[in-house]
Amino acid sequence: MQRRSKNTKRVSKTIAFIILLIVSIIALIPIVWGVFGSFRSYEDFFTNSSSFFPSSWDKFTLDGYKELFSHTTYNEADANVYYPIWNWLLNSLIVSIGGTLLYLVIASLAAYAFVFLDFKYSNVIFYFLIGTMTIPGVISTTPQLINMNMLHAYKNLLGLIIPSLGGVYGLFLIRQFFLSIPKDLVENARMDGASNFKIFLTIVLPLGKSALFVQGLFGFMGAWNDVQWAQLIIGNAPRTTWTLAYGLKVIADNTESIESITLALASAVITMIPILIVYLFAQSKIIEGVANTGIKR
Amino acid sequence: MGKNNDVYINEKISSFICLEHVDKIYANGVKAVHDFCLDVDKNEFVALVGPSGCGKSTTLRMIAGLEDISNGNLWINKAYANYLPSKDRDIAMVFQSYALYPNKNVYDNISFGLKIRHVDKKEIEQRVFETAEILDLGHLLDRFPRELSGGQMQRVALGRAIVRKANIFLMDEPLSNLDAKLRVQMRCEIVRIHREVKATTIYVTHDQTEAMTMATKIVVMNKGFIQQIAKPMEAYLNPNNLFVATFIGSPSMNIFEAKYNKGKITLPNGTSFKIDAGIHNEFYTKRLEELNNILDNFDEFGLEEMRRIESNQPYIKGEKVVKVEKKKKFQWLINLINKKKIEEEKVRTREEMRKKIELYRDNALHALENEHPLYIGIRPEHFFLNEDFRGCKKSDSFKVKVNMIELLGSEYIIHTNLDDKKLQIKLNGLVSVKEEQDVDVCFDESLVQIFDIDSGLSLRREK
Repeated sequence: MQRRSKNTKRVSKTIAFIILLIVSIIALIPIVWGVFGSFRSYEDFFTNSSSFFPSSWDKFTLDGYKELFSHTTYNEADANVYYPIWNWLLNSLIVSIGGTLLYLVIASLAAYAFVFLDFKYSNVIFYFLIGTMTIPGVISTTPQLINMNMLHAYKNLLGLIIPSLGGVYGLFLIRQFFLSIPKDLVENARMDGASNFKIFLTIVLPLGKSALFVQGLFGFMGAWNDVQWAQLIIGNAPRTTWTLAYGLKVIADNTESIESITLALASAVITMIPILIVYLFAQSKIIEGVANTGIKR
Repeated sequence: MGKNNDVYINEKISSFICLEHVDKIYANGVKAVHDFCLDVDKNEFVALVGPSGCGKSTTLRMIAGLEDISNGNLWINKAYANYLPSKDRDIAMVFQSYALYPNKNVYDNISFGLKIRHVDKKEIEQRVFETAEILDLGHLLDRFPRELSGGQMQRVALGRAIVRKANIFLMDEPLSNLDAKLRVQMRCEIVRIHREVKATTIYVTHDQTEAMTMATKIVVMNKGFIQQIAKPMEAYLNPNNLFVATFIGSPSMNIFEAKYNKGKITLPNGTSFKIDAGIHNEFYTKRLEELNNILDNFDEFGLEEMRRIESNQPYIKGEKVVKVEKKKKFQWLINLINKKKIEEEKVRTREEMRKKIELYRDNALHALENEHPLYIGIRPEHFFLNEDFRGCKKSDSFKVKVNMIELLGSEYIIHTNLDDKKLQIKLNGLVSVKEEQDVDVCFDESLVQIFDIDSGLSLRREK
């Protein structure tokens, strides 16, 4: 009986592994094609477009990347191919990191208030905020644009940061995590004489690290990859104000011939690298954070 | 009464902690604590004991300032403390879950309160080391809570309270997460620390053994009401009502229905003994007065009296004491629609309660002149083998058949029946008794407890 159940377990595990492997391969195919494609010359594409890899080692080239980084200085004659990559990189870092940090401060303080402070209508307010998550983003686009214009944040990076500070999902995630922190700890600290801010800084925040990390990462990735809202806010701004994701999208959209295809692929790889690095270093923290969210002691 | 830096001082309050008619009513209308009155003297060790849901932790939290007081007054060291923040009440609390900060080591856990109060670093170090010595934590100061055993965590929680040098210690079931052996060990530790530190201590527990062995005064609670405030031995020998009688003592007191007639009590098996008729008559005369007063002021006292009588009833281990009705969604709408129906139901319930109290009054009147039933309580340890009686006043002996024997080493617990009611008898371990054997037993009449059937109150209760 035991041997049969062991064998059954092995078989089911193997089947699950094979299925997951196939799905992973299918998901990875476009990425592998894109990464290797960025190192191929356009002639190689022309003659061997369906292949993943360069047809030979001497067809391996960095032309796409060279092309990408050769238009970083403004030239009136080539205004259309002015790509200030380094400005875009800096802008993306400012928006992603700055916006995420600011949001984490606001969301964690709000989550603390909802969980540990007993104020009237706290539940009503919280559920109202949850209710706003049902509103599709598209509907609030025009009002948000008008708001940013009124705040003089149109055509600049503030217009990308400010709207993200009102997001409810992160607040919800952090609040759910804070609910798993025993209230005894907070009560004990209160009796010791700690103020709410002290309790937040020294006790709740260190214990809620995982949730903040997860939210921080998702927030960073969302801000880094955002193109739609960037297009609306900074689309008409000077190119030096653009973010990396938007700028590289413009490059990809402007590639009309196969000669530019390596340029487009190189730009896609450049956009992917920072996120990949962050994820590689932080994956264990993400799993821990997602697993711990909402689990009570 | 005077005002001292925004704190009202009442010199007339003689006790260190005084609770006057304190109630706790939650937002959903549930009354968790009813008319709680208690005086705690300085350096006293008071235990609040009762089953789960009886309101003891709620009372402790009100003293700590973690719960608002709905009605009544709290005085701490003569100062009016109802609205005083927890940090200003000079209280140190030990929680059931220890509440150790997981991200701080033992040293930081113990010193946290002192750091918040900006105590000098050198003094913090000195106090922490002193405390660590008292509790034998010196070798654990750099460890984190996850690296400690249950007993060690308990000692760190105590250390955190001791280092504050607070005048009042509040402990909410601090030993309930420990194994039996460690619990016994820690009980002695806590008593030793109390004597050394000389802080006034209020200790909450559901374990009557803990309360009896540690406290100088116990407060027995049930369903939000105080059942009795007394020294442990007093509560054991003279319980106020059926609940205290069956809650205190292990095994539980044996309770039987018996008949009373002009000073003579007859047990179900025919055994009888005499009691002082004066005590009986005094009790029922006083009871009659109380019931008449309640009926005259029914709107004010009726509901509370019914709840109080409910709380006096015998303790059954494992019984779910608090029934909280789940609030239906849109209950407020249902109430609005059915307003008339709900009012009619309220009136009907009040009428039923009134009739019940009238019945109790009639029974009390009847009891003064006629034969009537009573509850008799005899502790298992107050039974003896006929030939081995060692009490004050020996009763007539009677035969019982031994159904089962529990051997506890130094003692036996014999399970038998008196008529059709279960009876437990505790005998010395040296006695030779076998199962299915008929034995002659008797009891000490001077230690028999007598309870009114309607209210559960002891006829010998404190005045």
